[in-house]
Amino acid sequence: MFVLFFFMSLSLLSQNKEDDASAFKRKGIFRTTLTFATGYMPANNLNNLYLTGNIEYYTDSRISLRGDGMYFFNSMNQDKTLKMNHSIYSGAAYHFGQGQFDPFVGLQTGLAYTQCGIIQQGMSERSKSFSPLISPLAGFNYYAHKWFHLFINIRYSYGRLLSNEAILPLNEWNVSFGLGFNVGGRK
Amino acid sequence: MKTLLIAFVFLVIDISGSRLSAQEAKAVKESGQFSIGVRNTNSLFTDAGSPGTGFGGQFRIRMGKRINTDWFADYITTDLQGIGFRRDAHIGWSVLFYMTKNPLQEKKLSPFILAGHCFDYTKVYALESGASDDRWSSAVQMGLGSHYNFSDRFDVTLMAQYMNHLGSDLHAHIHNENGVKHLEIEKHSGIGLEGHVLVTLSLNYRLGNLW
Repeated sequence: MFVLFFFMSLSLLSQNKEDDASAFKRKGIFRTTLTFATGYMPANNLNNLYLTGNIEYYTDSRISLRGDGMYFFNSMNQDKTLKMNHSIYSGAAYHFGQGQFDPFVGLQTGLAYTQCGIIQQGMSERSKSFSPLISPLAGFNYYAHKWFHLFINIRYSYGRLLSNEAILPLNEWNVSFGLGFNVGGRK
Repeated sequence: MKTLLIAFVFLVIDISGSRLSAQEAKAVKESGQFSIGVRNTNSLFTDAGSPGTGFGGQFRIRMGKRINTDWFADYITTDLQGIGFRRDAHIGWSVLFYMTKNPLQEKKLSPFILAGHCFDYTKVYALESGASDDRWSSAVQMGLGSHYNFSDRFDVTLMAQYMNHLGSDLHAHIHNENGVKHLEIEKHSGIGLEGHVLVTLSLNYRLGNLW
């Protein structure tokens, strides 16, 4: 009797999941997020803190167009190498599977707006410059609720700061996660 | 007999007319597509042998079944071995000619050859001396590439082209003196031929049809 009840429960549970999956449609989802991100620049041994956000639109179940922004707060450990390192990105992502669990990989092109810090007394204000970036990213979204989803993003940015005073690699790993807002995604 | 002949002529005109309309409709459908995209351009074999990285965007207008056009802008920076840098800005257009009979089909490659023209601005800066120089010029480019159409509306494009600048020549030399690198900027006025290879990866989305 217990075994029968157990298998009936499993069957009902899987049926509910299938119903949920069939009721979910990725095409037309518009999602946006705002959260904090940590970054690590291996070449400069810098740990950075950012406010990051994105907007994304699913043109079909597999492809989405996506724009991201990162606002640089500071490097941890009071490191003054960078005073500013804001960036914007635009590109697309490819999504795997069909359901509410939504793993993806993406590729974006970006632009960093960077200024080095004053690391010695008597230095004048350093110049600001724009540096092109190329950035692959990966992660997943989980559309658990009608309006909200969970997400994790891992990004690598490749670029180089070329200013009048310094040449620095801007290569950086970034991780962010949190709760995002979405509309669409249901039949 | 005469009536039959007239009826036949009208029938032929009618059939050929309807065929023409279908062909015209197909031709309309295969042109006028408007796409926007973002692109990363890498500049190779340029000053001092250093590669450059770029950021840019483009829009694409399809002129016919096998002819497309790219209208682009790029901003490229190049690290000159840590002792200087070069900045290039390009704005221009290219014509893409597809090598397959039925290009832009979903889940297929669409190889093309391209040729075009652009206007550009270049600045070279030496860190040690603080010296810099710049120039405006025009350029022509040609190359090869291919789209991969992930869907009816979205493609990823990889292309390689050789861009030849027409105008005054601006370049940097790095020479070694007692193990210390120095950067020297040279500008030659007049008509010169200076070029570089550009490899571009772009992501493009078709918004709709212009006509």
